[in-house]
Amino acid sequence: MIKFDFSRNYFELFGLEVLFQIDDALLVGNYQKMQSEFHPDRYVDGDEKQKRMAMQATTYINEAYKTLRDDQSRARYMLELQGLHFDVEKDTTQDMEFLMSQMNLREQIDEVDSKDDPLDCLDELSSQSRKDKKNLILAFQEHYLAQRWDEAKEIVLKLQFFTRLQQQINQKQEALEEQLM
Amino acid sequence: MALLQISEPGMSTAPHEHRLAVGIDLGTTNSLVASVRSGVAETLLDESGNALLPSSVYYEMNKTPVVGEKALQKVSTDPLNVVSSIKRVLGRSIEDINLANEFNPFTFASIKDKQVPRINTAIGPRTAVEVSADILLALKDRAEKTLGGDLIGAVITVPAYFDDSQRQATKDAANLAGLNVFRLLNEPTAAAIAYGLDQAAEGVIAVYDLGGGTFDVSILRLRKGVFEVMSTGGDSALGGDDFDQAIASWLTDILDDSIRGNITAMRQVLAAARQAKENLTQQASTVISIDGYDDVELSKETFEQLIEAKIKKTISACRRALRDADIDKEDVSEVVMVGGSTRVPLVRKQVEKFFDKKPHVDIDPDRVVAIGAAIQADILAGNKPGDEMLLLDVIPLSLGIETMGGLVEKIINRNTTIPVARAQEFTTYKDGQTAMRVHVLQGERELVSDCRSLATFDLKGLPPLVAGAAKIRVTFQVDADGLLNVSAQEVNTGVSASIEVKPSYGLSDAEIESMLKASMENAREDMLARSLREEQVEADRVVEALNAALAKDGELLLSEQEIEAIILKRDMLIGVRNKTQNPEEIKQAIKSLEAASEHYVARRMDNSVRSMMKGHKVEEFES
Repeated sequence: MIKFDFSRNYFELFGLEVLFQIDDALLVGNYQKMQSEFHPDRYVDGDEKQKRMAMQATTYINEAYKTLRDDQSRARYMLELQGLHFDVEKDTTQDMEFLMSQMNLREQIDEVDSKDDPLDCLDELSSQSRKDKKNLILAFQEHYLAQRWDEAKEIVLKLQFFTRLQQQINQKQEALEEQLM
Repeated sequence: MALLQISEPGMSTAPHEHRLAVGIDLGTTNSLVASVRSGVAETLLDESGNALLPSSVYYEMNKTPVVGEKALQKVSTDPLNVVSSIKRVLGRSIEDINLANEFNPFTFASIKDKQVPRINTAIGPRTAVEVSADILLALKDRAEKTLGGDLIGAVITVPAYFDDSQRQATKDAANLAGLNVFRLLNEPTAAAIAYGLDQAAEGVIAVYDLGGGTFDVSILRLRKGVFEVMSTGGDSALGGDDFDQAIASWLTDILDDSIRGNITAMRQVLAAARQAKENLTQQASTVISIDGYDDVELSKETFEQLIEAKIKKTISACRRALRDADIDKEDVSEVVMVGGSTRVPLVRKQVEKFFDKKPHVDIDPDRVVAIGAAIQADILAGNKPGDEMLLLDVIPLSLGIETMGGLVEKIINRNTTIPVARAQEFTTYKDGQTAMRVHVLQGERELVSDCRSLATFDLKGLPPLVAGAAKIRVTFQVDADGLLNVSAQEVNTGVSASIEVKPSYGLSDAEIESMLKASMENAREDMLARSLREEQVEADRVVEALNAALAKDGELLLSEQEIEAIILKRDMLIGVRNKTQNPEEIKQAIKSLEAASEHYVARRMDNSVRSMMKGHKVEEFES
């Protein structure tokens, strides 16, 4: 019989402390160890119940791993563990200055087509956005440790924008490369 | 009972323990079967010593189908009853096939809209699933004869870029052929297994797989015996056959356009084109001869011009796969070449140039996939209990549902490790809306019209609320084979509907049933799984509603002991919900919680009535 405790939170699952800075090697190592034990491939000969359990356990492990691997989703999850809720529809940052700068960045992405070296421009935007994101993450850690939950949540909401911004940059890059072909 | 068991040389040293399992490469042009014997993976040969079985089937009235070389021999005398390249249409709709605008060496029976394409043969119309099953059956027979026993299971490879319906169709074909499918394995992954284990490499591997009809690129990470597919990309309708088509189309332009209408002549043209392509791997130019026309010379330069755009398309997919894996070209430590079409010199040259690395070509590119599949099958059969190798695969294409305005909302992104489950909440957009259509799509584009439609189902009986008040949770579950299951539920009322995604143009349930005679036991299991899911969701809803109520007025209306008693029951429910596989147990736990909180519910109602008397509006008490 497969024994898997679904009540553990994602950090506990991988034997990690609930901190933003995580031990990457430990996360990856334990992820692979757990996959080796619970993956459905280990139960191709098992009964339906075992197969289902294996699938559910691995699904949980994959979700946990994916959540912890990404900065934004990890930060958000840490706050959810503190009892904070995120409503996709309603929650958004009210920081006008921030929103303006985001809009500005997006416009710049749209406008790279007219530049001489659009791919270089995208690289630059990408590194700029990475720098901004890094600063936000530092602020998040401070707020989190000081238990200023609302401020920490505000940062998680802002981080979402960077995830989307990076996606947009990638899409643009792909489109440009296709054109160049 | 025999005291001594004598095994033949070459057989397993412990035949009574060794469980027979095979890896099958079901290819567009050729198929292979391989197995691990005495610890060595090898392709299994037919009586004449051939590993490759041409993926062609010949149908003759009142006879069993003939597969392979013997079928190909009938092409000259009875071309319409020889079915080849069936993989190109497996799991695809007639619209897809027409869209691809390629020459298929067979004709379709006239079909009604949205029906499964059927190919005309002497024994009547046959679906691609049935034709594929005929090929798989031939491979199964070969394996059971060679290995001397019944197979307990098989690993069947599919192009990584195969979508849900193509995978489902492959699995259906295997079941129809009487094979127990351990796992569908992505072809490039299989190739990496074949190489990786031989060389015990650690690092990042790019697998470039250009077969007859499909192109795949996969980026894999091998670390301490775990193969992790980081990303995969490609094109399920691009391959070496396109090179033949390019030559054929160039040739007919030169010779005579009207030749295209003549199936027999086109077969000759395609065969000549293929031969020319093969000649040009060694020679600088070749002469093409077609009956009734002058000879035509094709130089390597011209050939390379004809195919250059196709190769560029593959390089573009490599770039995207690297980006999805979030790594640079320099991080790639090995490049593996798979598929017969990688013998074309220009392909090797372009791949080497892009990755700036000499690609591996030491295992026969035609056999490497089957060999990798055999190794995986051997492990899954439990023949190597000490072997820790594990394969973590991803879904190749994003999955989502249609939202307002013909847009696709992605629920699971491509290259997410499977199995995976993801839920997202949607809402109604009209006042009083009581039903919602869930349209499941696959693809990377934003518009519904650019993505592949997988299934549609309706969620009915929603409570008539104002627009935006209903909360519909749509859950996608993808299993380890990459097959999808979708369910939708209105969170407040528990109204739900779900569907196991079968392609909307694929085989109907009735067809599958009659073909497979699905056992009642399976159906019961499915229903059990479904009601388990339903009860789990119901439990979550009850817990959530209770928590919300307690937070609002628990302390106001209940004593400390009363709260404790309710919380005890609540936690018991959560425990049961997370542990049990029996929906009935969850149902009981819900009932027990409801009983424990009955007085609380009553007090809440009293309280709200009292408050109303004070002249408040009802709306204020709605959470």
